Amino acid sequence: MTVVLSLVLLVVVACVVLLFAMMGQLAARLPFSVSDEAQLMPLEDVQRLGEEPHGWPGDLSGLAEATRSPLVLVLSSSCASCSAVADELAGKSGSTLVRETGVVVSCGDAAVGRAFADRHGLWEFPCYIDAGGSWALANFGVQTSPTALIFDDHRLTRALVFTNFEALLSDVRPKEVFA
Amino acid sequence: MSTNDLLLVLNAIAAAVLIVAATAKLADPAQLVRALGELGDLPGVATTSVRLFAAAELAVAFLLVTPVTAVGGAAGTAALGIAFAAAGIFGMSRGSTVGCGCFGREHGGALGSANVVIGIMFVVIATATITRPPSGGASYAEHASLGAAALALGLCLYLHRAIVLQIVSTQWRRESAKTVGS
Repeated sequence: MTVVLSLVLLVVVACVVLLFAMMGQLAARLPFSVSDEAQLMPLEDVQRLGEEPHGWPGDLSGLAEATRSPLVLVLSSSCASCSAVADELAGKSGSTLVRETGVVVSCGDAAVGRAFADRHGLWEFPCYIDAGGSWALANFGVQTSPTALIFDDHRLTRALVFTNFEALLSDVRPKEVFA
Repeated sequence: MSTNDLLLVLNAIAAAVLIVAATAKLADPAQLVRALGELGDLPGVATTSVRLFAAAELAVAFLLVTPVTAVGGAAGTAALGIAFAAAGIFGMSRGSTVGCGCFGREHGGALGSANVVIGIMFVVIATATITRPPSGGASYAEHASLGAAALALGLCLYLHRAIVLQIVSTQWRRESAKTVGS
């Protein structure tokens, strides 16, 4: 009996190992590797650097009028890193960061995107549900998330893929403390 | 440590390596197809044949952990070892650069000396098992199975440590964020 149990355990472990192999294969298909220790990387194939977006949809429209050029975060509703970033943002929802940080939730279905925003409390920020990812793709060729779009004088100057929001803030707003 | 115990450990190691390698090929056969394709127009190389090869590796791994089937498993291990070593030598002679994906795509070593070393290791283990077949019945099978399971899991966690660390750190950050917000 114990022999059978031992063999069954070996089968179970083989299935677990297969699951990890499948996860590893999916991870290897990402534009950047999960083993990459860099927290900020320039977005490859970014388009229209130096240009303004064609428009600021929905709640992002206020960013067009802001005196300070905004920081726009493109998050995907189906991305674990994006959920982590969204939780970090939620921790700053009472800060001055709210006025100058826009969030674009890229999703296949608008209802899924709204649920993502509800779950992570993103409505405190200017937030746009980008069904199909069309705004991010059409304006700046963004197909990866989480991505930060950094504007200067309302023109896109940098696009960074990031995994940690604090590291991003340290890079783009190094001398500021958000309270 | 007796000879039987040593065989148990060696067969458990071989079984664990075969399980991890087989699952990597089952999950992503295309990577090995690409690596072999770089070496030339080899007949019969396709994702289906790679998956069949992976199934053979799994079968051999399970044959190794019971004394009744260990000799048959050892013959299979020897054949696989010769195949790995041949692939490694072929890769070295052709200057292979494409990662073989033998333990997953993110572990990108090309076909080369590592495959030769593993192949030789398998042939040595197989030879030892065939010349001194293990005994011990149920006790051997239990210990070999448990040992192979533990080693396979350990090897898997080591190879995919980046994913494991990311999951753990994401969960920790979520818990931390909840604590801050409450």
